[in-house]
Parts: sequence; structure tokens; C-alpha cells
Amino acid sequence: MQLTITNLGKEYKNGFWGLKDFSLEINPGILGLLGPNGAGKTTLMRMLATITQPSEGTLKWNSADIVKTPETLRAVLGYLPQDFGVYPNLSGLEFLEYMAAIKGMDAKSARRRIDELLVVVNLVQAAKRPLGSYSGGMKQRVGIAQALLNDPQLLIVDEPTVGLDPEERVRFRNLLSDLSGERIIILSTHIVSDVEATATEIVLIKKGRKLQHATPEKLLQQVDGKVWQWVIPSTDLPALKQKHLISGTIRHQDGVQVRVVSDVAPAAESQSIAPSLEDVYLYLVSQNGARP
Amino acid sequence: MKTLHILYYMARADFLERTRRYSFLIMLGLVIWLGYASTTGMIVLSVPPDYVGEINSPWVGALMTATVSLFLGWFGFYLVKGSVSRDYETGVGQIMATTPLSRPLYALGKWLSNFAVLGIMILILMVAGILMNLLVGKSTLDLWALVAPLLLISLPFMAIVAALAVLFETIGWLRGGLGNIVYFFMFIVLLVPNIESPVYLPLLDYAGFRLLSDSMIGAAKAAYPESKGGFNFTFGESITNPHIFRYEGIAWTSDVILPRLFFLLVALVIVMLAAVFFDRFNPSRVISVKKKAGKSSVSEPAISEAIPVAQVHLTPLDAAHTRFRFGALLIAELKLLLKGRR
Repeated sequence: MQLTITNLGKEYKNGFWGLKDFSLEINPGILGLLGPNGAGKTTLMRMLATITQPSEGTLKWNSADIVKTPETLRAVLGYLPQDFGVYPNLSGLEFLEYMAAIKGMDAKSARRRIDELLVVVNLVQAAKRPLGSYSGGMKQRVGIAQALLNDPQLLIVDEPTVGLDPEERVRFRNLLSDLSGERIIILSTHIVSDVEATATEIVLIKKGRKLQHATPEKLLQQVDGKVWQWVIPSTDLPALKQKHLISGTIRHQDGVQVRVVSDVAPAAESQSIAPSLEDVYLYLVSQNGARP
Repeated sequence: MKTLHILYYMARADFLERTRRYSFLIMLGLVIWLGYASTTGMIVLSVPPDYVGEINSPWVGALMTATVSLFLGWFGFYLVKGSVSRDYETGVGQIMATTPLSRPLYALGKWLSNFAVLGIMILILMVAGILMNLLVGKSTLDLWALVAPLLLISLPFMAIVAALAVLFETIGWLRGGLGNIVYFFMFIVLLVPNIESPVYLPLLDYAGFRLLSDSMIGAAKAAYPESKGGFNFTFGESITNPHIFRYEGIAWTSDVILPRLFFLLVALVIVMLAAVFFDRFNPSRVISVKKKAGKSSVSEPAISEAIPVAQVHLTPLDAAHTRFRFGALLIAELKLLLKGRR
């Protein structure tokens, strides 16, 4: 099972390239796509999900060209788009039955799978309520359930945890981890903690280009010794923000504890600390353009 | 079998989604009222100036069929249009695009759903007709005579209306307000030549008005040779002391039925045409690289780099600058109206 992306590019009508010269080989596991808004994540996801066609380059699923024959992938694909909407007057159950039929599932296996998925996404009680009465998080969970209906070999989820409360977010991350194994999961997000918790590999994108592709460990090594922490008076914070890349602040009684990503020690009293993926993300993205 | 399964669930979901809306209830109310208006003489079918059929099953069937052709033919389009647009707007379409669902199957599913909604309306008018026949009819109920014109004239016509709604939604420039205007005038413009034509052209009589009127005129002339023909379908004007003639309905021979079935075929052709135009929810058009071979650099992104918040100054807004501006609101609403829903 392999998804191969070679020199992929997408040009929009106004001449803007949403993605350019993008190559990647994806194997089973969870691939986290990280990048600022407008980086090209959704453009890439839509091409992988066979919604849009690339302007250049090739996309291959187990050596089959999915630009020419998208049907080969669609049968084993699950997709949750970023802007997921529903039919407000259908119940969650009816909507999932509908999506299962569209995915070509027979009624019996669809019903069994829907019952299981309703438990997984914690919507059993609300299954017969109209979707219009669901909260944003509940709708998102319906979206997750529909993406998993056909037990996909390739699961593409675009900003899946938006709108979920912390408990549901953790539940979803665990679900993704459980699902990985003999399938490819592509998780696009700008929430670094989601990727940190689940991804086996990470791709950083900015301005339609691939910045990095590595395991989380390798990425963390890149900023090892470049993350600093110390406490400053709160009045000094605006000036520090102008000079350094601050990845976090915590208020204390004696001032503000700042977390700075910098090649050299930003202050005499600053102490080097272990980096997080958030630090890596900010560092790499800021190195390849203005500060995010 | 699998195709039928998909079609069933597609049409079912779309049908349920629509029939649970308030707008459907309003339309339903309107159709029930049309049924009531027909039975109470507010809607009058006549051969001018004052020849009216005896209330029997064929006449009631003709009256209900004319009601469907005019009202549902004209306004039913607006009732069923919107199911494809909803898939664009909600993002459900993007999920569908990632499934093995084919373009023709999608268009067929939407058409079936549209057809089912219009079919419900016909069913209501059919029930109203039966009640009218039973309550004020001069003869016993002849179910086939009443139902036949609705099945053989109205249903094929509604199949076309349902298909046109899908077609209009799959063509970008017809999806919004312009499509609504185009249909409004198209309905009238295409109706007139067939009614005015000296010869009956069954393959142009999509709404069935000519088929109905010719049979009525014949019946009126048989009873009243002095009658000069013509066909009136009026609303709100009752005829005092009408000349009553007996109407036996349309003789449903094969040369009458086959042209009606032809319209089902036309509807299917329109659906397949819609499938051709349907972009499968692709949000962008592909630009061939060959055409732009010289261009290789990545353009500047549409989203500009953020200026650090510390460098931005927000001007404080005092209460004196906050007031309701009717003009601005009106202009904004007009813009929204003119842009339509695409």
C-alpha cells in the first residue's frame, strides 16, 4: 500500500499556484500535514481525494494513476473535508445510511458498520435527531463517522478536530492511532498538538512548497538546543516579541515566563529546554518567510 | 441491483430532506388550496365563451391536469430546484466526489428525488379530484378516466420539469437567479407556439394543454355545434349560467400515449445532459500546464503575511460613530439579491 506523489502542482484560474513541485511517498501510518493557513494543505488534500485534478505531476495509488483512473482509489477512500456540512433535516442515522449507499455499501453491512461507528463517535443517543439540531462538534463527529464508513485504506481528514471539545479531541486522536496500521491516514491541521499526538511522519508546507518531510523525532532534533526559557518583567514582553520568535508565554507572580526559539541564547539568564513540535513548526515556518 | 440501491438512497435522502422543510409545507398547503379552488369553482376550465363540462371523472381529471400543467409546470421548478446547490453549499458534494458515485447516477438520483416531490403534489391533486367527483359529481367515479390524464400528461411533464431543475443546477450560470428568470420566460415562450399552431404537434405538446383542449373543444362542438372552439383556463372568474356539455375525456390510444411516453425519454436525455455538465464538485478548473509551459515559479499566495500584532494600531471607536445606516444595509441586501445563490 503506497501513495506516490511526483512533482504535483495546482494552478488556479487567477494564475496562482496553490501547490508546486510537490513530491512525496506515503506508506501506512499517520502523516501529519502542517502548515499555516493558505499553505496549500487543502489544495493537496483535494487532489489526493480525487476532487480536483492536478495541473501538473502524477499521483499514484499502488502504481495505478489516480488522475487518469480515480475510481481505483475512490473505492477505498475516506474523506472528511474542512468545511463539512450536512442535510439539516435528516437524522444522523439517515445521513450515514445515505453516505453508505453512495459509497456502494450494501444495506446489511452498512447498518452494522453505522451502528459500530455511532458508538465510536459517541452519537448513539443522538442518532435519530435531526442533524440541524447538532452542535458543531457533533456534526464533526458525523463527518468522521462517514469518512470511516467504507473502512478506507486511505483516510484523508482535513482539520478534523475543529469544533471538538478537549475530551472528544483526545478520543479522536486515539481513534486515529487505533485505525493506523495497515492503512494510510493523512491528517491536515494547523493544530500542532493533534499531529504531535498521532503522526508517525510529518510534512511541513508553506506557500505551496514542501518545507520538510521527516519523523517527529527528526524534526525535534532540528531545533534541539534552540529553545530557551526564562522569566522577564511583563513590561519587557512587547520589546522581546519584536526581537525574537516567542512560542509560548505563561504568567507568573514575578513576571512572564517566555519560551523563545532562537539559534543562540537570547538572554544571559535564558535556559535551554527540550523542544516541542510547536517550536519546530514556528522555527521552520519563520525561517522560510515572515513570522507566522 | 447496486445501482438501484444507490439511486433509492439518494432519492430518499433528498426527498426526506426537502419534505421536512417549512417551504415544502407551504407548497403543500398551496397545492391543497389549488385542489380546493378547483372543486369550488374558483379555477374554471371552459370552452369560450361559456361552455363547461359536466362534473364527471374525465372532466375533473382534465381540470386537475390543467392545474398541474400550469401551476406545477411553472412554479414546481422553483420548488424542486436547489438539491444540487445544497450539495455544493454544504460540502456534502465534496464527500460525494470522493466516492465511486458516477455523474449519471448522481444526476439520476437528483432527478428521481425532484420527480418524487412533484409526484406527491400530483397525488394530492388526484385525491382532491376524487373528492370533488364524489362530492359534487353528476356521475359515479370512474377512477381511470380521472387518473389517466394525470398519469399520462402530468407525470411526463413533471419528469421534464424535474430534469430541467437538475440541468439548470449543473450549469454554473443557470444555477443562480438568472436561471430562475430564464425558466420563468422559457415556460411561457415554449408554451405558446403549440397552443397557437393550426395543426396538433403531439411531440411539442409537453404540457398537454393542446391534447386537453382539442378533446374538450370536440366534446363542446358535439353538444353545441355553434361553439367556436378555444380553451379557457381562468382563475377567480366564475361563469354564470354556463352551457353544460358532457365530456368523455381523451381516447387513450397508442398514438396518444406514445408521444406522452416520449416526454419521459426527453426527461432522461435532459438528465444525461445534466450529467455531462456536472463538474462533480470540482472547485476549480484545471489549467493545462502545456498552455503555460513557460511559467514555473510559485505565485505569491492569496493570503498575505501577517504583520505582527504589536505593530498594528486599532483606532478606538466611540459611540458617536456607531449608528444604524439604512442606506448601507439596503445596498448590501441588494448586492446579495443580485448575486443570487450559486
